[in-house]
Amino acid sequence: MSSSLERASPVPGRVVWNLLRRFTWRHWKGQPLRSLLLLLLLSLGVAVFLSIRLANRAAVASFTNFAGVLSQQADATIAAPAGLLPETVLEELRRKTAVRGSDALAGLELIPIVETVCAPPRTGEDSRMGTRASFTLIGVDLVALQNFAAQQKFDRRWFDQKVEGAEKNGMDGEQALVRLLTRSNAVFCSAKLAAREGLQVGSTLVAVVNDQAVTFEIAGVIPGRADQPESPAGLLVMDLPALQVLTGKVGGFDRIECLFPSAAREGANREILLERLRRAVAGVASVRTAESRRMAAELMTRGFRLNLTILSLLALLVGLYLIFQALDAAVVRRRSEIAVLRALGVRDSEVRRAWLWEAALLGVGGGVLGVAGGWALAQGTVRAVSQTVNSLYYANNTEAAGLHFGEALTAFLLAVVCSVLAGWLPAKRAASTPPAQLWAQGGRAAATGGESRLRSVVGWGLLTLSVGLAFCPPLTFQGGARFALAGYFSALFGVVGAGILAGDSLRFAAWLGAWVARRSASRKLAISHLRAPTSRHRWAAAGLLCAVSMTGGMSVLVGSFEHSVSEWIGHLLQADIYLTSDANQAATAYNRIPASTWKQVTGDSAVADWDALLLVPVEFGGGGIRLAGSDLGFYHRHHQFSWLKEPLSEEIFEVQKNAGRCVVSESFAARFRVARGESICIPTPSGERVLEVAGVYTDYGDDQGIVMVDRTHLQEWVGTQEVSTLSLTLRAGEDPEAVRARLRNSHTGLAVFTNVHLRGEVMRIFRQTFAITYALEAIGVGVALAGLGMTLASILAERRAELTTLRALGMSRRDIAQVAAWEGAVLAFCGTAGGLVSSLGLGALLIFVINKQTFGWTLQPAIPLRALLLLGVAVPVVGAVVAWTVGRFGADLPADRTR
Amino acid sequence: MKIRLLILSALSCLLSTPFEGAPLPVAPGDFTPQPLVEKTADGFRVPQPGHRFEFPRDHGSHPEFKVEWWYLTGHLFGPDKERFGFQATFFRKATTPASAESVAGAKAFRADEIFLFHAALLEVGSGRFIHTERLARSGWDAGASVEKLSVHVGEARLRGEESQKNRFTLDASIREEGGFSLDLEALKPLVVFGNDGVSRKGDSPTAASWYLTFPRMKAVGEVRIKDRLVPVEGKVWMDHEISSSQLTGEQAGWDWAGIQFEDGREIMVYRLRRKDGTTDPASALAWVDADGKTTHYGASEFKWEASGQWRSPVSGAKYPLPVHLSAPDPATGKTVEWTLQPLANQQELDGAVSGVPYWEGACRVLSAGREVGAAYVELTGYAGALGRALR
Amino acid sequence: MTVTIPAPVLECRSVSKQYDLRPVLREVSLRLFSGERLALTGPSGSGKTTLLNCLGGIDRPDSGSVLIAGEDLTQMDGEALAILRRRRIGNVFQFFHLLPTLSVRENVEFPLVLLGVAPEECRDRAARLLERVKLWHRAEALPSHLSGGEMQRCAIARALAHAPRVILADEPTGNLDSVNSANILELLRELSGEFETALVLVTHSEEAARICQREVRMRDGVLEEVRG
Repeated sequence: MSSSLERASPVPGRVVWNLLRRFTWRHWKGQPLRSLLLLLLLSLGVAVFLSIRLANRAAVASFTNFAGVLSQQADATIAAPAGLLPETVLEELRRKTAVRGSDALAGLELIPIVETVCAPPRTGEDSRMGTRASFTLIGVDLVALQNFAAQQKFDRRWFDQKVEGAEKNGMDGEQALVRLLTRSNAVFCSAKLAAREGLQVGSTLVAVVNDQAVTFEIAGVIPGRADQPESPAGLLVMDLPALQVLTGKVGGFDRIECLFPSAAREGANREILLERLRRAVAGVASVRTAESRRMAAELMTRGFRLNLTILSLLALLVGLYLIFQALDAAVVRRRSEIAVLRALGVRDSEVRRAWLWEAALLGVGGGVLGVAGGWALAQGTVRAVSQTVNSLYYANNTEAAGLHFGEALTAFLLAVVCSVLAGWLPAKRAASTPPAQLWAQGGRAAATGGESRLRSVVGWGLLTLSVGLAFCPPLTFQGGARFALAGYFSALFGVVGAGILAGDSLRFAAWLGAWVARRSASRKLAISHLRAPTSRHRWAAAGLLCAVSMTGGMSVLVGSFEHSVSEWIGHLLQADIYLTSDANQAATAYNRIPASTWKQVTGDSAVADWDALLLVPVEFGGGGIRLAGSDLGFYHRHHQFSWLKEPLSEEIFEVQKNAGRCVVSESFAARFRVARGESICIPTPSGERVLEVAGVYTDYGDDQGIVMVDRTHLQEWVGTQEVSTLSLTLRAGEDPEAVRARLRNSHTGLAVFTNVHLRGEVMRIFRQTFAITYALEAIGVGVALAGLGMTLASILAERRAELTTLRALGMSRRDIAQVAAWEGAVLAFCGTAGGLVSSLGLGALLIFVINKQTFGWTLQPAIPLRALLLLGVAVPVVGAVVAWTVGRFGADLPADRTR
Repeated sequence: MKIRLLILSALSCLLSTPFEGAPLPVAPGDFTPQPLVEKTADGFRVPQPGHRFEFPRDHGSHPEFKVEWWYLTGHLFGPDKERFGFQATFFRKATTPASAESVAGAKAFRADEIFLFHAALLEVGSGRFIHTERLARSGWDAGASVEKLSVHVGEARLRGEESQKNRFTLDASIREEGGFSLDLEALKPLVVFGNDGVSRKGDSPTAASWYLTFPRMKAVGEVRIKDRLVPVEGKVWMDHEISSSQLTGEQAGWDWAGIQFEDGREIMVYRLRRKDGTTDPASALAWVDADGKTTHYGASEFKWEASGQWRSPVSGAKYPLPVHLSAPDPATGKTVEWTLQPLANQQELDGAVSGVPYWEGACRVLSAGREVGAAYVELTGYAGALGRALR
Repeated sequence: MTVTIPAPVLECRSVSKQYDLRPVLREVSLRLFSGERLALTGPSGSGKTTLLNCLGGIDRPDSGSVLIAGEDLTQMDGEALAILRRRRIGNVFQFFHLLPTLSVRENVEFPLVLLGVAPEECRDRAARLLERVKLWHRAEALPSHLSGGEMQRCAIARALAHAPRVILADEPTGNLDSVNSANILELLRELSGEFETALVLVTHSEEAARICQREVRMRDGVLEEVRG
């Protein structure tokens, strides 16, 4: 041997690189369609995940502040725990935070804000709830706004925007300003809205505020800076005092946004300034930083968003099964090649690394495609997400989701890490099977006894762990937010554990099917393949089980939810007619019906009995809840409460005796761990009140928490005669539809529902909320089915020789397609059956653990038989069709090519 | 005579006057304005002669008049002779006297009165000039007491000391770029310019003001440039002017100067420029002697000329700088000539909020090549596109 | 089963075939009668397997026709070909090609199940054949547990299960040692006689060719009669 060869030592990594380049890449290139499909399925998983993350982010980001429109996010926001901040707070703040002009912390900006959510008026007969995109109408001091515009080097075009095309309007700045300030209906709208609605300076825009349709005049477009994101489409800005008058908030406002001087934007100075603010408003209001405010919005929707995120992981999880399966199949296919390579001196570790790299590269490809796809998909999902956020949490009509670098990176890394994880076992297998055995087996893989034992241990172990985790309590955060971490892990372990065990059901099915198959060659052959299922068979079944069980589990949850909600509204909605402001198209819209209006309505000759509800958002325990005032006696008389803990005494229902008492919703009790008989201290606009909790009732309409007192007391505390909703019971013989039509005509600013209509609307919104859930599940099941097809395709490719034999023995392509179809159908059936069984467990977990811990709702379990049956039939049938197609095109001979 | 009038009187089509080397000819005829009326057409009071001023009440706000300002300029020195110039102006303007009902009850956001605050600070050594403007509704963030001197706009404020007469404190910050806090003490008694307490600004029967000035105050305090704090002492000039209508339609702009001589005397001078290029006969110059006694000269008795020109790179306006002033000295009866030499050319306020750029700057006062005092000079109506700025 | 008309079981008329413009078969014509055994020899790459594939309907000639029991394969579609294969043809391969997931017995039954024969009859026939090839004792074993000779015996049993008119055997002994080869050849000879089945035996081996009545040699796509 020559000395140069003796001395030669391989450059580290060179061997692996050569393996990748000479073998792996050529294999991939040789099967372009399969490679592409695998990449696409993985990227679909990533894309779905990312799109949901982006849509969530966009929906949360829209919960922002006015300062953000001007320049940067407010450094701090001051708000009263309940009701409005009195105007005197501002002077107090200025006085108490005053510093000398030479102080480095001089320059604190205070921006008082009045905000209301209004909505365009209904058109025609359309009276669906929450379908019209709300406007967020912000009242800000337009005079002071000038200063910010100047400071931020903004386009200064707030005050004298000209009618397009017209010559100079001959007004100077002061005249324009004075004119603006003396018009009570002048608003600035976003450029987007102006473009969409064709609005110009001087155009009018009608929106419902409280019970009135108000005609606004467009004073201009909210000016923007090129380097700032465009202002949200639904944003309207008007002069603060004018909005105070319009909304009945004279003398108060909703919040103060604070901008700190640059010297105090971070670090110790920021804390000093925050502390000064806190001291200045102590006892009157609370100071929240931008982060804590954003966090509050995030917390509010966390449960909802987490559910979506976790659901969105379904497709990725199924995708992982696919990668695992594909790599595992590749190991089998290339086993003789590996054996030769190792015979030539390639090390175990090099083989393993090459396989891991293959998995990682697959992850990179899938990640890149997934990020692109996710961003595109997000544009669609964002509407669905924001609509749900709108109906459940706060006014929101986000229409676009930006590509967030962090999220994209997360999704990308997730793809890579998961791919590597999925490639781990195949890589180990590739590296560890000795060549001798490979030769002896002629390239066929067979599960060893040890492996199957390990599989059982892991499978059952995960299931046991899953059951144990289901009994763990949730994580809790400040503000009463909870997160069912253990519950989610329980679900994950349960699904994966069941998936691992799914393969064993294949043998059972084969045994069971043998008799059925005895007369048919195709069936017989198909069944014979499942007697000793390969790992690919197992993983295909596991993937399907995972998708089906999650889909089924969600169906059980949604079914139970639907059942509970419809029972609940059956209790709750007993009146004939319901009225609210037509502007209340979003959960945070607190438009009210003025006393004059509701007295007129309730005085109608058709009305026999009525109740009114006043809703006030308040801060409690560091989070937002709602304080409700209603005629508790009316509720009781009409059996509208669904009690979880019934009041022990009837006194709560008598207005003379129920001062100092309240009933709370279940989510409130769960969120703040309050029990019947305990006392809570609730902030009200006229100070804190100590209330004894007399009972706990069910409310599926709210997951933040409701404290209900008698309306008389609440109206007194708030100092208003206004109400939020009205419910009317009509005299016998009155036609609700006729009364509704009459009320709609006489009160154009009120939304009027009959009982039937409102029930329908509640259920419609309920279903709409779950629309995205269904879509995510469908994608998950779709990926699993595609995976089934891929599995069969790869299995058929491995059985090339066998197929030729079969053809030689006289089987037609159709026969072979039938073999594949049967194999696929049985495989799909096993996955589905296992999935349906575990979906019951998962459904129970979702209902009794995750939902309960996240939202605090007790649901009555109901199994949606029809949905599960549909799933149980559709998945195997589609699986058979996919398999048939694969078989049909996977088994041709040269003789089939002509003719 | 201050710039704010320009903005608040809504003279939308002021044109810049081209620079001319020669002094503007004074409009013919002696200045015998029409007698003053009691009230303006929109119902505001007109300053009347013979008014008995009472203090501290008259240091405070006069809401029955339409416009009012407290205007402070000064020259400050640090421990190492580091020199600064500053300006701080609080301006009050009642806009629509009868519009209060439109925002009924909203006392925190009044629409019938607005305040404007301007501040500028010149670091002479570096030539660094910083300034800010702030507009506010009368209400929670701006206001002035009717009992004493106490006016604030945002965090900026000017207050009379409770216990001591003629002592004031001034605080102003120019965002993160700088700020100043000064304790002020009058070194000379209050001067009331004009005839019988009324300063006429034109022929119109409403064009007059009560013009109260502390021409020389001692200032002690701190100046901040970014994070650097400098203890300072210096001299300050404070005007308080009350009126309801001052300018006439023919006026194109004006030039004003407050000069503090080292010999303890002061000059207050304003030249009103008419659109036709002439000097308005209402222009005036007043000497204040060491005891606070005033001597007034009419438009024809002094000369305000430009001895150069500086073009602002920001607004494009051409300002006649330095200023050449000649006037008789009442002590000697001889005409004396001075050059008001800017300590830095860039002392233009760009009108970011008001939209009206003007030059207001610290100058040294030279006579026969010798520095004899310090001055603040104001030049308005030179920015070509005032109308544009008022968008 | 008796043949009343002495017509050829397999007839091949002027069959030509080329791959990538390279002629593999040139005007090949051949006739084979019931019970006749034909050895097809020739060097590697001479077109033996291609001819065999064309005879078995696995591949199609470019021109010419192939008739099995009077039916023209070249006129059939894939479906009809499959039917024809399952009824008329038995295949024996060099690499056995047993169906790995089926037991020995199931492999043999398989062609019968394809034809829809009743399960009981399938079992009977398979049992008889397995006994005939001396493999009954391994009936329930999976192919992976058989030796090479056993596998080929099983394959032969499978090829005969449905009593085909023609057995096409491609190097059936190519993968076997000499003792096993001899056994397999003997078996093929005996069985083709017993079942009156025509046999086309593609082989390199002189010994193998010897069991056939006729031998043709393939050379550059052209057939030449060696003996017969």
